[in-house]
This record gives sequence, structure tokens and C-alpha cells, in this order.
Amino acid sequence: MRPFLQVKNIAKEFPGVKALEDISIDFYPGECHALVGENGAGKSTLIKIIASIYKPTRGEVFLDGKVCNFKSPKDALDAGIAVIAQETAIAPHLSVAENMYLGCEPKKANGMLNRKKMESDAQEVLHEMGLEIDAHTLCARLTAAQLQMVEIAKVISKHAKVVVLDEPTSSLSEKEIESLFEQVRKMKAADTTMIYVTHRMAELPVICERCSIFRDGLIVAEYKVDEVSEQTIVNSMVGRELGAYVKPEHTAKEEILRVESLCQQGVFKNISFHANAGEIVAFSGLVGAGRTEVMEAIFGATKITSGKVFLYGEEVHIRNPEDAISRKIGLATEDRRRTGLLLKKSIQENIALPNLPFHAKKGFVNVPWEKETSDVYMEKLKIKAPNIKTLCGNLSGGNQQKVILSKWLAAGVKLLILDEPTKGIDVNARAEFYALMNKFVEDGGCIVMVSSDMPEIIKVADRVYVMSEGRQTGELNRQEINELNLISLASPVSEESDPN
Amino acid sequence: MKKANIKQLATDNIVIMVLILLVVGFSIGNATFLKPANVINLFGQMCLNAILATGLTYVIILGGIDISVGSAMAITGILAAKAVLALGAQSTAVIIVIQIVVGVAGGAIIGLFIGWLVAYRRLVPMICTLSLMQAFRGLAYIISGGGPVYGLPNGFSLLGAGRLIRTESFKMGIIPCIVIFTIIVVIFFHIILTKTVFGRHVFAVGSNASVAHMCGIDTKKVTLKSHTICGITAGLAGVIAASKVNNGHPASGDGYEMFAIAATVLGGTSLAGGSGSVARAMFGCAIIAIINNGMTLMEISAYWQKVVIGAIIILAVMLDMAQKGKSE
Amino acid sequence: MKKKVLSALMATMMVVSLTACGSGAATEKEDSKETAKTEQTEETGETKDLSELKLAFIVGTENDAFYQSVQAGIKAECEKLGISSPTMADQQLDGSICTDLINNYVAAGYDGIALSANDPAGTVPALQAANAAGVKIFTFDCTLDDEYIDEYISFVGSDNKAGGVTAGEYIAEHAPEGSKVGCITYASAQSTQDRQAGFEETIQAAIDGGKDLTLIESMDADNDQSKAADIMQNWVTQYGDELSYIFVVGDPTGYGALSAIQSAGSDTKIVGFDAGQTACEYIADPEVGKIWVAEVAQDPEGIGAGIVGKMAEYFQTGAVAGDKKDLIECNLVTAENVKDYLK
Repeated sequence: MRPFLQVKNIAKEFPGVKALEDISIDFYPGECHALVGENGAGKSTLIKIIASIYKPTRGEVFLDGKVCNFKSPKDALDAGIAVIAQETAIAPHLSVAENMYLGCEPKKANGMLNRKKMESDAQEVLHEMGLEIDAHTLCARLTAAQLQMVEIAKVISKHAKVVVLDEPTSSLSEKEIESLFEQVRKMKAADTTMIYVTHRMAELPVICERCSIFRDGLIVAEYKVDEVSEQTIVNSMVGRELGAYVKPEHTAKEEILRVESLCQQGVFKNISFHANAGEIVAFSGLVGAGRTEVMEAIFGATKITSGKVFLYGEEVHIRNPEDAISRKIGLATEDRRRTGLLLKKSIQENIALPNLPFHAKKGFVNVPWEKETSDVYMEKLKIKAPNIKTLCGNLSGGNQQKVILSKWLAAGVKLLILDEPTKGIDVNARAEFYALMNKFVEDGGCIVMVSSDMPEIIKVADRVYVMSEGRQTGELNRQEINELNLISLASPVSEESDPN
Repeated sequence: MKKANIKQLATDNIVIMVLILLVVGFSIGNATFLKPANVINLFGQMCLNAILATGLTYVIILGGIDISVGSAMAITGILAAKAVLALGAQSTAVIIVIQIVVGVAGGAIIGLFIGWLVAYRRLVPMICTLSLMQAFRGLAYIISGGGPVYGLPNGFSLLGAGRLIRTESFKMGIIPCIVIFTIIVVIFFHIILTKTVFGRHVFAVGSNASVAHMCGIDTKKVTLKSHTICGITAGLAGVIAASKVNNGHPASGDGYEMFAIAATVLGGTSLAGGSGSVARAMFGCAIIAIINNGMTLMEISAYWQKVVIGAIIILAVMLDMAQKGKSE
Repeated sequence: MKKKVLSALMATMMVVSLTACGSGAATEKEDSKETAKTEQTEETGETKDLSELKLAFIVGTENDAFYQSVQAGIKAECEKLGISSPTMADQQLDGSICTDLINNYVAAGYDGIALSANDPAGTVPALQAANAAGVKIFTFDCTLDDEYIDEYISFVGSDNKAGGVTAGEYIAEHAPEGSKVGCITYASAQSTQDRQAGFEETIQAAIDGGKDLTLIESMDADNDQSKAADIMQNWVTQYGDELSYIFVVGDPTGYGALSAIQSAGSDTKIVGFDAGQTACEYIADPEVGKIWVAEVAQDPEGIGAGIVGKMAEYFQTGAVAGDKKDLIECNLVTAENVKDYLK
């Protein structure tokens, strides 16, 4: 069989970062080829090169044996390469049919939109897929899973020859995943070349024929899925790093934070917990359980409806982040790019930002202090960048997180709240980051960490609180932390929220 | 390597290149252009725009805008003229104190009001200042009674039209007071923006307000202060404009906001917020002043002056965008 | 430039606000009509028609001393003739606002509209619609091109071009041989363009007739004092005392030029147009009068009174006697006769 899509010797460099080095893969029609690897291993970059969003620094993409010279993502789309991204690209205020034919609407002879044809065509595609979605529905009314299906319907209606699915199952339920796979099988049967990016190893044998393992921008192995075990794949994915971080014993010291019956109308209620110096307390639960909101409320970024917050045993009223920082609390937000860092500013400016008022001389920035501090933390936390003037937008996820950590360490915080601290960070950087967290609590600090990554919680937390749908569902001590307990506490209590 | 560096330097400083080209072009085209007397005029003629652009740079870095500055100018100009008449001030020193106090205080009140609307009442700056542009213009006519406020003592025109250091060949003086005053204002606010914590906060809020908020910055207060600074510079520009023509006129400053915004953008301040510089805005002011001056000297029709100014601004911004696009 | 950027927003705002104004004015009119009717019984037949008339007067801009005087003239004459509360409106020197105003008055059932056609071409369609609806149109100060002379009944205004000629003649007579003369203009209004043209043609004719003068390119100060000052400063630097006289098409432009001449200590003299109080005081002043030597005076109150008279005549007799265009002469104000113009 002849490969339909080939990438040959692809390399991609960003300022200061090598994202891909010498990648070559053949993709065959009628097959599903999985790309697996830790976050930041280079899978997304490769997809963006295939979709012509990025230009490779070196190397070429071949489609049906011919070199692709696409100038824009639209050229790639016209040639039949469709990408379904993690976050759906659906216009919520348009109908399903309008979304499916966005940019290629059928027209009447007089040039006007042929709405009837568009809607009947759309309905037909949906019907063939076995979906019970009305083509007239506004997309804003659909669930995440249905939107995903609309995206697939859009691709099918365009008769794409190459379909890339980028972590399509991350926000879907079991049942929804099954119907997604059904569509994938149909597309394979129609000789479509499928590329499938995933983190879930269990999915590989179900729908994939081949898989390529990415690590640090390189392909470390390529397997036929039915010839290897899941363990082999996982091992080659993480390399020797698995287990490099051993959870140390912490001894909890004096209480730093205590929260009693914290409520925020319609968001969370009756949250009570405490965190001590010298320990890492984790908040586990599903995405949307209200953990991030609790942390933002404690930090003063949002207002609480009722409840009490105590620091060192004394009740405090934290009105805004400024207040929280002056009380030595730091918060590293979940979305580094949107709420964590000024991407177009330098490492130095970012580290200094919350600390400027405390080191200023009559309102003037203390530049020597700023430079010295940045240099110190760059060295201490081993931030990989040419120098402190490097823009944060050019750093990898792990290094960005280190910059955020640096700014709070420079602020001398005692209580550090970390929201999904290792999201999108590769395995090596994670281990490094855990070591930094460990150092912080050993020096008498206290960490409250929100994480949706269960292995991470099991690996680093001393104590765990679990939340579900805005309520606190339990507390687990060191001995009780295991997947079973975490899952059972995190699951929604009632079934009424189930869309089906 | 060296060649690449020069090319980089040129694209980085496209506005300066345009400026140099204009100077070279006009000095070839007209003998008067580079004469000391005209160079002095030139500096004087860019001052009002320079003062306005200084404060505007702050709000534009924040990602905002203030198009009411021209109307605010008229108000403080009239107030200063009225204050001098009402107090019967005759001594030049007293008059200058009155002018500066009225400019700063009047401008600050206007700026505080705009800042309050934008930061605490969450009005969109464009709409807010568009409405206020009308309202302030109307107020200016009401305060002045519809016509110019005149009959001012000679000292009133010192700041705007006076010159220092008289010599044989320059009987009216060499250095215009307006230039000295502008340099002081520009340097003062340039230092505030680049060297102080507040200045850093302006950039932070403009780059990403959520990040700034999470870093403990009171983003509303920063917005309020920035608009106040913009108001103060508009107020000062208004007083200087009145001084320049020795009367307070309610039509003063009409349309100035567009030239000040153009100068700021020519100076590389991004309308999307997050980056910019007071000092570089001065290059923008220089370009606009040079075009006006040079074309008047060359007796080019007034209609063409408008076309050329518009075209040069578009060209410079386009080149700037192209260069920024490459780096991304 | 500003107008372009804001036009979309402005248009919306203006339409909303003006519609509101228009209807408000209309109801006011209804009230006054009723009062008029009750008084009718005692009144003589002579003024009955006039008191019932709904008339609107649209000036170029209420922000200008000239138009303020025109309005004063209109109000005084209306009172004299018993025309009750005429509607006063401001087109803010914007043809599209003027169009909206005309449309509103037509919709509100006005009998007659008098306007200063500052943007003649822009208002023609609205005026044609008004005529079709039977509303009588009069113009003052600025009027339509002769192509559209049938669109209005009568025009009263200064002869702007003749005013420019008057200024040109004064300068051609007084400017020393071999010197230069120039004009700082406002290029966005018909009236000021006429003044500029009258001036330029007269100077050109004098040059052709043997007078040794150089006419430099006219510059536009956008009716802005500070810009006028900058232009004057550039001219003084370029030409020095060779520039003997300048003609400014409006008083504010003159203030700017004056300040530049004063601070440069130059010998250039100013001839202005408008003869506002400030300018007249300058001419009378022993010091400033050496620079600001003359003004072309219009008679704004006369224009206002004149147009009301024409309207009254039309509505009483059904026609207006005499020339369609009633051009009121412009006079030259100098140190000798300035006393007559000082209030």
C-alpha cells in the first residue's frame, strides 16, 4: 500500500526552542495513525505543520506523492486536509447547517445563498452519521460532544481525504466517545487517512492501526498497535524518567490557612479546609468542580458570599489580589498564557511585576534589584532562556511556569496556590517542577494545589480534598490517596446532571 | 552580518527614516527650510501636538483612547484666560502660575472624570470620549459666551509665543518658551512612564489586564491615573494654545485629537495596547509638523497638504505593521 | 478626517437626537398656534397669516459671532412682524445634518424654511424633496449654485465675492510695489471660498494691470487660530517684510495671524473679513491698528431681517418683488470709520 500523506525530515524551531527535529512519518489511507507523547513533545506542532498553520524550518510534506506548497491553512483545507482541534472552532450564534458550510455556502444561480439546499445537505450528512441533530439548531444550544460531532460532520461534508483529530475525547463521556469512534470507523472505511492525537493509551487498540511516539520533539518509536503492549508504549513515551521523582516525607508544621464554610452564590458552597506549613494539599475533582473558583476567591480575585478565611489563626478579609500578595499569598493560575504571564514582556518584567511596589524607591522602579533578582531565580530555577530579556511568549510551558514560580518566590510568599501547575508541561520539566515545590514546603512554605491529573496528585500530595459540582465531597490523608478513592469522591453525586 | 544589522536597524526605525527623508526632501526643495529661523519655527509648531501626544500615549498603551482632548483644550484655554482677567493679574510670573495651575487642575478634573467613567463605570473609551468631545465643545462655548475671551495682558502670551535670548539677528529671541515648556512636560511624563512602578503598571495593564489583576495591580486605579495624565496634558496644551494666540477661543483644538493620535501611532505605540513610548511619539509629531511647514514654504496647495499627511501616516503605519508581522 | 472616522456614529446619534428635537419643536408650534387662534378674534386680518406661519431658520453654526448676529436679526424682525416663535436650528456646518433638519421640518408640516446653504450641493436633494412637499425654501448668507436657482424663492446675503474684491482693491492700492501679498483661507465653506476668489482675482487683475505684486499660494487654516499662527510664522520666516499684506477670510484666522506677526515683530499688515467686535477694537487700537488695518464688514442683522422680510412678503402676496438674489453690500472698515462699528 502507498502512503497517502508523508512528512519527511520535518524540523521546526521557535526562538530559543526546538519544537521538532527530523520527523518522518508515512500515513496510509483507511488507517488511523496515533500520535502519542507527553504534552509539549511536539505532536501539536506537527499537526499545525500538516495543516499549514506553521511553516517547517526544514523538511517537506507530501500529499499523494506530491510536495505540498500550501501558502495558508485554507490551501491545505482545499486540498482535503481537515483538522478538528481540541477546542472546537464553531460559531455559537450560527446554526448547525451554517457552521457546516461556513465559507463554502451553496449558492443559487443569482449568487444568493441557497439556504434550502444548505440545510437539506447538512441534514443528510448528519443523518448518514446516525446523529439526531437538527440542522437548524443554534450551535450555542449543543453539548460539547454534539459540537464535536458537528465538526466531524463539517469535515465529512467537505469530503476531506486527511482528517486530524487532536485529543477529541478529552471532554467526552464514555458513551459519547463510543459514537465518536463509530464515526472514525466509518471514515476509515471510506479510505480516509486518519491522524489521531491522544493521551489515552487505552484508546489505541480500539481504533488505531499504527502509532508514533513523540518525546522532546523527536520520534522515539513507531509501532503497529496490535504488535505491542500498552506498557511498551508508555515506557517509550516517558523514557527513563518514570519514577524519577520520589515522593518525600513531609512533616506538617503550624497551620497557615484555614477556610470555614466558604460560599460563593451559584459557584461553590460550604468549603472548609486547612493547610499547614510544610505540606502540599491538593484539590482533586473533575474539570468544572469549582476548585479554581475557590482559589480565586481566597486570593481576593472574586468576592465571596459568606464564610471565613483565617491566616495563621487570625481571621482576614482579603479584598483583592493586592491584599493577598501583601499577606504573602501567591496564585499561579491555570491558564498561563491568558492570566499568568505577560507574553510580550521579558522574564525580568514578569518576575518583577507583583514585587515592584515593595522594592520601589519613591515610586521609581528599583532596576538593579529587578535585574539581580531575575538573574538569581533564572539560575536557581534553571530557566532555559538566552537571558532575562527574553520574552515570555517564546518560552516553553515548563519555563513559563518557572517564571511564574519565580515571581512568587521573589515576593516571599508563604502560601502558594498552584492551579493545574503542570498542565501542558513535559515529563522532565514536571519532575523538575515537583522538586521545586518540594523545596518550597521543606523551607516552611505551604502549597495548595489544584490538579485534575490523578497520577500527579498521587505522586505529590500529602493530603487531598475532593470537590464535585461546587461542593466538598471528602478529605483523604496520605494513606488514603489512591485512584479508586479519588474517582469515587469526584463523581457527581446525583445523575440529574447527566445530559442523556 | 553587518549588512543584516543595518537592514534590521532601518526596519526597526522606519519612522525615523521617513523623518530623515522628509528633511532631506524639503531642504533640497526649499532654501528657507533649513534656515535657523525656520528650524526654530518648526520646533515651536510641533509643541501643541507633542504635549497632547504625551498624555495620549498613556491611554493608548492601556489599550484605550481619548478623542475628547481637542475639546478639553478649548475649556482650559478659556478658563485660563477668564481666570487671568478675573484676578486682574498683570505680572508675568503670576500669569504663568495661573496658566499652569488652570491647565493642570482643569485638565486633571476632566481626566479624572473620563477615567472614572472608563474604569469604574466601564464605559468603552471610544464612545465615552466621543460623547464628551461634543459635550466639552459645547461647554467651551457656554463658558466663553460664544466668542473669544480677549483683552489679555501681554504676559499671557509669553508661554505660547514668547522667545528667550535675543540677539542682533534674532531680535524676537532664539528659543521659544513653548519649546522649553514642552520639553519639560515630555521628559517628565516620559520618565514617569519608563522609570516608575506606575509606568510599569500601565504597560502591564495594557498588555493583559487579567494578568495584571492577578499580580496585585489595581487595574482601575491605573486606568484612572492614566486618563488623568492625559487630561493634564490636554489641559496644558489648551492653555498653551490660548497663550500662543493671546486669547481663549471656544473653537480651539478642534480636530487636534486626530493629529495627536496619528503622532502617537507613528511613534510606534500600538493601538492594541501594551507597548509604546512618549519619546518616540515625538518623531511622529516632528513628521506632521515638517510636512505642514515644508509644504507651506514650498507653496503647495492646502488641499494637497491634507492628502500628503494622510498618505504618509498610512504609509508609515503600513510599513510598521509589515515589520511587526515579520517578527511574529 | 475626524468627520470621516466618526460619521457612522455621529449620523446615528444625530438622527436620533434631531428627530427628537424636531418633534419637540413641532408640538411647541401646535401650542403656539392655539394661543394664536384664541387671540385671532381681536386681531386685525393683516397679521393673521403671519402669526400662523411655521417657519424654520437654519444657520451655518451657532458657534460663530456672525451667525449669532444673523439670528438676532431674524428674531427681531419676526417679533416686529408678529411671527410667533420661529424655530432656530444649527446645521453645525455639516451638509448631512442640514439635510436631516430640512427633512424633519418638512415632515412636521412647516410652511417655510430659510437656510444658509453652507454645503449647497449636499442639501439640494433635501430641498427638492421639500419643494415637492410644498414647503417654501429661502436662502441667506450662502446659496445654491445657479443651476438650482429654481429650488428657492429668494436669497439674501452678503456679496462675499464682492467683499473679497473690496479687500483686494484695498490691498492692491496700499501694498508697496515689489512686495508680496497672500491669503489665509478656510477652504471648506462656499462663502470663504468666494472671498478668497474675489481677492485673488482682484490682485491678479492689478498685477496684469501693471502693479508689481506677487500673489503667494493661499493656505488653509481650517478656521483654527493656532494653525493660522503657524502658517503666518512660516510666511514671515520665508518672505520676511517682503510680505506686505495678508487677507484673512474670517476673524478667528486673523487672531492667529496677528499673534504670529506680533511675536515675530514683522511689518506685515492684515485685512480681515467679518468685522466682529474684537477685530473692530483691534483696528481702533493705536498699537494693534498698525497691523490690523482694515476689515470687510458684513451686515449680519440686515441679512437676518432681510430674509424674514422676504418670507413675510411671499406669504402675504404670493410672490417676492425685485431680484431673486438680494446681495447686501460689504463695507470697508478702516481706522477712519471704525467708530461706527464699535458698540
